[in-house]
Amino acid sequence: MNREFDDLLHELKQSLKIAENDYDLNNIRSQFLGKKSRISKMMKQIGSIEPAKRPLFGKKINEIKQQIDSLIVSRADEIEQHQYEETLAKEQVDLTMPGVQPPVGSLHPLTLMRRELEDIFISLGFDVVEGYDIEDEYHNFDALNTPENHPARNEMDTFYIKASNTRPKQSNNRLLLRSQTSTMQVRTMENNQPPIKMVSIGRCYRNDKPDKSHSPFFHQMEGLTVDEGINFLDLRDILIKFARLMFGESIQWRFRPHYFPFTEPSAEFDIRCFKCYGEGCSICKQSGWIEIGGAGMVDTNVFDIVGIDSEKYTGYAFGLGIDRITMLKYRIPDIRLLFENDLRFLEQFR
Amino acid sequence: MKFSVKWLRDYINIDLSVEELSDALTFSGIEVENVEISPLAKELESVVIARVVECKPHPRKDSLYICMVDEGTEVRQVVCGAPNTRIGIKTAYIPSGKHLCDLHVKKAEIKGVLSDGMLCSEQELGLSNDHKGIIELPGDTCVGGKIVDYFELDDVTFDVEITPNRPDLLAIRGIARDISANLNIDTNFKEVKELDFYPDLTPSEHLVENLADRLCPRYLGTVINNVVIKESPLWLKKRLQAIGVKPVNNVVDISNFVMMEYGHPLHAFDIDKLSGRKIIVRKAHKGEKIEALDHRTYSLSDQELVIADSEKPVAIAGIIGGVDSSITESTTSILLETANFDYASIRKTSKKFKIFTDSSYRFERNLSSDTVPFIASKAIEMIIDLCQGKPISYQDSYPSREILSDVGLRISRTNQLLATNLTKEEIIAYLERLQLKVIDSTDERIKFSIPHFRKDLTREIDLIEEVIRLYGYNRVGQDSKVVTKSLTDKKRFKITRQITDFLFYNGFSEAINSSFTDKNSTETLKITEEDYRNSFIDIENPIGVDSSVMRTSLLPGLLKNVMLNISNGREDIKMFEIGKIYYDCHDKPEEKVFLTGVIVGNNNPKHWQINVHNSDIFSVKGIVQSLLDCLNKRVTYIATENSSYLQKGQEIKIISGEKIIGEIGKLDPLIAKKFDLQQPLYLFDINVDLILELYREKDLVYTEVVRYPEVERDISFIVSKKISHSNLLDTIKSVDTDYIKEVRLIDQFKGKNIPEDCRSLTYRLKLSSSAGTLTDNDIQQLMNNIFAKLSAEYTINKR
Ligand SMILES: [Zn+2]
Repeated sequence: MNREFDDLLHELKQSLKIAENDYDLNNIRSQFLGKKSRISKMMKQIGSIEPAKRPLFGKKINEIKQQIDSLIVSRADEIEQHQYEETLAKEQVDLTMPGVQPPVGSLHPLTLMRRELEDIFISLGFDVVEGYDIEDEYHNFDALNTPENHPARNEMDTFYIKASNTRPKQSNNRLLLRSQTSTMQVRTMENNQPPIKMVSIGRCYRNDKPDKSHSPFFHQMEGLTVDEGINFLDLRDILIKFARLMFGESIQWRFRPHYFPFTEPSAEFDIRCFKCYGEGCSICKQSGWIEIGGAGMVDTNVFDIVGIDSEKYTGYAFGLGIDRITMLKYRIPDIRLLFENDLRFLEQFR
Repeated sequence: MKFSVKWLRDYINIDLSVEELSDALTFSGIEVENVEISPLAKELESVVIARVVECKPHPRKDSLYICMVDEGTEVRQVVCGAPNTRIGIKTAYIPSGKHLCDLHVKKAEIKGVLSDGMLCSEQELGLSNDHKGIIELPGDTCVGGKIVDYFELDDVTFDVEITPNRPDLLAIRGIARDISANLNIDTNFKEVKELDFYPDLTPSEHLVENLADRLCPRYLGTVINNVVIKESPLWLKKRLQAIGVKPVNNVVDISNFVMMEYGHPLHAFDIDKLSGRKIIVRKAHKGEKIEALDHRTYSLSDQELVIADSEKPVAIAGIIGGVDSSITESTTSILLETANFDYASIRKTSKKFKIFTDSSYRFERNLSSDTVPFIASKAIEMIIDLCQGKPISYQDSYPSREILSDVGLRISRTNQLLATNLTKEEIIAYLERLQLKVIDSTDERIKFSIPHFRKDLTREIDLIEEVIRLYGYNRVGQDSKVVTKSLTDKKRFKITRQITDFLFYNGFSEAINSSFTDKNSTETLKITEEDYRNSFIDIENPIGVDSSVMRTSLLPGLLKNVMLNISNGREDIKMFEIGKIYYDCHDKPEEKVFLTGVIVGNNNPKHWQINVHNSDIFSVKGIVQSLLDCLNKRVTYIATENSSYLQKGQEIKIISGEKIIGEIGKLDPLIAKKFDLQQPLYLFDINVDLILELYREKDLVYTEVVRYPEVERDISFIVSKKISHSNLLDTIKSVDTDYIKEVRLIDQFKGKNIPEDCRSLTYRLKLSSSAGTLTDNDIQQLMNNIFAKLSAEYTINKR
């Protein structure tokens, strides 16, 4: 009897040794524990055993069955562990190899700057409006308190649109490419009553010979606030807020008296050179200061022209050169780089 | 805080609809949370007045009667056990099938006799505790009428939210006062009698001993003898039930009533149970215990304020009374507590023991000590009236009078802050409606005294707020012409950023080119004379001949950029520009925003794992499809052959409605040659202004997610090359609109075993049903239908 059991276990161990997977193990299980297994057959012989020995026999059979089962289970664990280790080994890869990257292009530095400006001024409560590039003399000059023969009206600087057959020359109000986004002050005030709080970003044109700081087309941002009780401090406050948001909290600033036909008092707005901190360098042309833009209180004449009550309302306006600020921010030495569209340049701005 | 309209109308004569009253409350700053029919009226909705027309004893049980009841429209048989059941009695009847509170009245057999409905006692109706028999109504009562109408129970209950700064509104009188100020209607508050009005009520020195006057600024105790504890009259119970307060007995009901009326809690002790027949207000002794009315026993520390008799605590001050001293049916003498307590102390104790009562809720909001005599007098009056009580003595411990500071207000400051133009008289009129009184005034400044119940008014700004509350938040600025509107074109702003970002994240680099160009730029592209791109706007004083006109297309600039980058050694290029073009349109200059993109070389960079894919027309079409999908533009793509610079058979127009909004294509090789461009160049050119014009904000609405699994099935067939994918797609989709969730072309095969003029196509269908999991049978049926439909419309061979 015991001999038979020993043989059985020996045979099982041999089979398990060569088993490789769940399929093999299932076969072994049915071979050793199934209905047609030897152990089952032995179980059926219990009737032929003398009654007194039956309990012992039954107990022995059960022990053997449990032993078989636990041998199979432990082999199954072994195989599982082995397969797991194999998987780990198989999936050992060089993790320094590049991943599958979706392609990314680049946004133009002027677009990045435009967005930054828009976001700053939206956060300061300004609306963002769009304007036209092709304007007329009235909106570019007359309405901005710069009548014909005004010394500030430099015809040489302005691109005019050629009259055509269908569009005869209107000598008193010629079409032109706007030389400043200040036209948007006029357009906005013509169409809206105060309170007005807007910025407008767009392209302007001046007949300048292209060089590293001049381009015949360039970009400006115009700002305008008109309401009751707007004062010079409001103007200074908004530009300082802007400068801090753009160039950092610690920025130093100053306002200088200046002249624009459509604002009075007028000023130019400088920040401390962020490269030399005032020592003088090439960026600030040795002055220690960098000009950011022009500004001033809206001239009452402009209000009168657009039909806003200049006794009731006051306002301020400012203009910023976007190409200039972009070049300062990204340390771009030549404005022409902005419009060449060399990918080696563009791809630096992701 | 709940109040009922009928109760409110005890104090202010208003006849407003529910909506009007809700509005008046809302604009007073009282948020209406819920409005409903009063609970009692709702419960008794189905109960009608009926007359017993026949009455005979039940043959099988002595105490029962079989009645025929006329309920106005029909006569019904009801079995009733009430001893007062008799012919001619007018009583309350509830038909079967209806509910009375939680009881569902059913047609039933009682001892073998059908009973259809039920006759009710006052107790069953919730009107009183009387359950001796069915309710008896006077002989002239109209049969068929509603009980709700007869007892005038039809009331409307408002549940309102009171902000924490306004404890005065936790009172129905307070709400009446605010509505009165808001609508400028007088209140009709009845004058309350002074305590010395009652001849037998005399001051005492031995009733109240206040040992903690910092925590209890005022304690007025009043002893009332001869009190008969019983059920309250119907009118009082109606008032309480309408706001969800359960009537208990006359004394308890009176204290609840007065609390709801004035917003100031009060409490009654059975004085015979107070040891020493007196009240001591003191801090608890450590370890003292009290069993409260909630039947929990609280162990006190020396931090809590208690109301005690000469031996032990009888109430946790301002929060909850004790069981031992509470009013019972055998009570005959009471001590009425009307007091005020320090709000911080109340809050601390209430939080510590987690006891939140109507009383603690009010006291912790800093009530006024000057309300105390009013509620005392009102309660005394009601106890005399309803409990036959005789007030005999009182003691008012009020060591330091509460004094509210006067508050000043500047007229100019008020108008500046509110953007109003109110005169001094108008401002005074508004604030006087709130019972503020002018103490003294100049042209610019008015000084007001504050009524005792408005402790929240301490600063100028508090008064300014009251002015605008009464003037009307929405009235401000109504007469001014200024309409604040945004000048921002949000659509353009958003879409421009979306487009640029989309292309950026899909590998395109943004270019910005000059607005100037030369006239030859369109000539090279063979653009015809009449095309708008040849209606140039000329510059009178150009900077050079190559910049003598404004650009009419973004393409020439981009082509120049491509050439520059190729000459710099680039092979794979994806670039775009979004910007203005300018042209002459019937003698007026037009400016339009366009989006143009170009692709040269491989669609993706070489990668160790991924095969390089050469760009083709489908690379660029895919980009445009995804972009326009993101912008929610439903467009169709149509093959055309009319662009002078695009290769024949490689040109797609993008159509939305009637309008061409752009094109996709391959630059004609002959034109490419002129630019020295060897590689194929694919491009798209889209009119952004047109997209904006046609753009509709995404109307994102959730549609129910199908809870059953999706099944995928492929269908493959050979079909003539002449039949387009889009036609086939439409046909497949037309077979069924419920099950087919998606159809996707997953394979095209030409060549081996396929006739020369044919191709084999494979479509993958995603199928599901919201009704249940699709069976194989359903699916097979659907696939058969699809195949049948395709076969009917085209010549196809199944693969
Ligand atoms: Zn510097």
